[in-house]
Amino acid sequence: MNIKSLAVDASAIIVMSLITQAAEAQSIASRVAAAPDGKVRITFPAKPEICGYNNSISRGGNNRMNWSSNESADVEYDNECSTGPVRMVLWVDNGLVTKLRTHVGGNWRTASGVTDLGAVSAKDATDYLLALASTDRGSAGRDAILPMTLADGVVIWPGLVQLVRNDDRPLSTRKQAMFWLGAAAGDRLVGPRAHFAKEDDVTDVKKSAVFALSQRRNGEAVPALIEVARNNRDPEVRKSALFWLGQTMDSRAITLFEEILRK
Amino acid sequence: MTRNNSLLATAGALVVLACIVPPRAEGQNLVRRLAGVKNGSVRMSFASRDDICGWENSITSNARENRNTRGNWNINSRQSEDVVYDNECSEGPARVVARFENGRVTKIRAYVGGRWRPAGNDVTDAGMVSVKDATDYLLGIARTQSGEAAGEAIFPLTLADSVNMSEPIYSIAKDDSRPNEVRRQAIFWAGQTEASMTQLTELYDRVPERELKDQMIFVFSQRREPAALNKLMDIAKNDKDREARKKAMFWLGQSRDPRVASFLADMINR
Repeated sequence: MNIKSLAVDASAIIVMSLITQAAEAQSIASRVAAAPDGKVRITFPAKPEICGYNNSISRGGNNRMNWSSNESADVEYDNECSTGPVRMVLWVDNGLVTKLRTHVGGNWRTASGVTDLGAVSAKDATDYLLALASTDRGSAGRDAILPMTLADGVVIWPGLVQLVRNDDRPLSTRKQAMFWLGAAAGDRLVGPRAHFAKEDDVTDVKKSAVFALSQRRNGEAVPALIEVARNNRDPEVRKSALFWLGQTMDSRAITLFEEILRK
Repeated sequence: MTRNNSLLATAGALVVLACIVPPRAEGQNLVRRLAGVKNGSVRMSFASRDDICGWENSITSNARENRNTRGNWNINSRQSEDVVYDNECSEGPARVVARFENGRVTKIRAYVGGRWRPAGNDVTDAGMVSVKDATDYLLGIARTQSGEAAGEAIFPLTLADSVNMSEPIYSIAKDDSRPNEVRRQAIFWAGQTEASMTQLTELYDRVPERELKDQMIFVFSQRREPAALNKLMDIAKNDKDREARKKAMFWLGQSRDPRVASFLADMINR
């Protein structure tokens, strides 16, 4: 009796929790849609190894994405590697997101006419971003993928696989998802490279050969790259093969990524 | 009568001589004539190969079949500042503009076809000169001067009609005493002309400088014969210089030769 009642309580808690999460993600979407025209700011927890400075985001000291060298118009920084949170700025026009920019760390600049949705959970943020990438046909959908990859403690790759496989999505969005899938598979295999890790001669040259192989036309090299990614003795070389497979839209590469990420 | 005939014959010979002498004298005088220029530009024209045509700053070869090199040299996409064109494939002559500063040639531009734009006050027109005079003059700059113009003097050599300039260009490429920039140009154009793969391979093996090796690797990548691909694979596999190996790999990746994919896979997995 007690056990039964506990089980009922537990399932009620799980259901409630799922409903709350969906509602929260939903609530981001509805709050964004309800926001007046202009910028909407949202923050959520970032992976600890990520840091930001102006319009640049780095991991382990390596630049990941740098869309301009200018000062960020939305975030101010005290140091050149400022950790968390992820800060997103959405440009909203008539309830629709027309543009999206991502920063990490720092502090919001004081601004008027900006709607601040405050801090949300990483899960809610990524659910919202995945929904945006799955529906928006413009640049915002494509740009929604980067902040998903920065979110702390959330598994996003199944959503990326869905995007890549969805022929209805714009190619630029699918390519972006494929790129990050390849990177995630490489990280799963090898882990992010240690800061200042030095490559030996042989690895360096082999990685050049992997790149050269990836340049072959018409997917000619995909089977060879998959073979390298699966079986090469050097993990950095395997990771490089995954990276370049992430530049293709080849279904064999997607299957490999799934296989690696499922492990 | 006999005397008259003799006079006529002498006069005739003089006329013939007079016809022959001016080009030679002109050839001898060309360097002297241009050496007199301190500042400004000198224009000259000479007969160009019949398989090329020009348009603005671009020169195209019509003889791509059975050749080992590519056929389009696009110097830049801007409108030519010296020559006006009426059509997009204007044949001959080769036109060279040498810019002088303080008596030294500092810049050389080359074109094919079209017609000269109206000249400014600082332009000297040397007119149509013989291929021999033009190539001697340009070779002189490439062989002896330093600076940008020495390298730039090499390209117009390749435009000249009925002369094979690959040997003199190759000899500049080999010449350790020439600045690297001049040798880089010479290596490129040796590769684009008739220099043999044997010559180019020998040259690769004797140049120690990374900059020149890089240029040679590029030259191999632009050649179409199997020996060039063999050399690239040899460099990728065996060169002592890691950067050279990487560069060779890069260009192998751009090749369409079916041997490349398995070669690269072997390199990665060995």
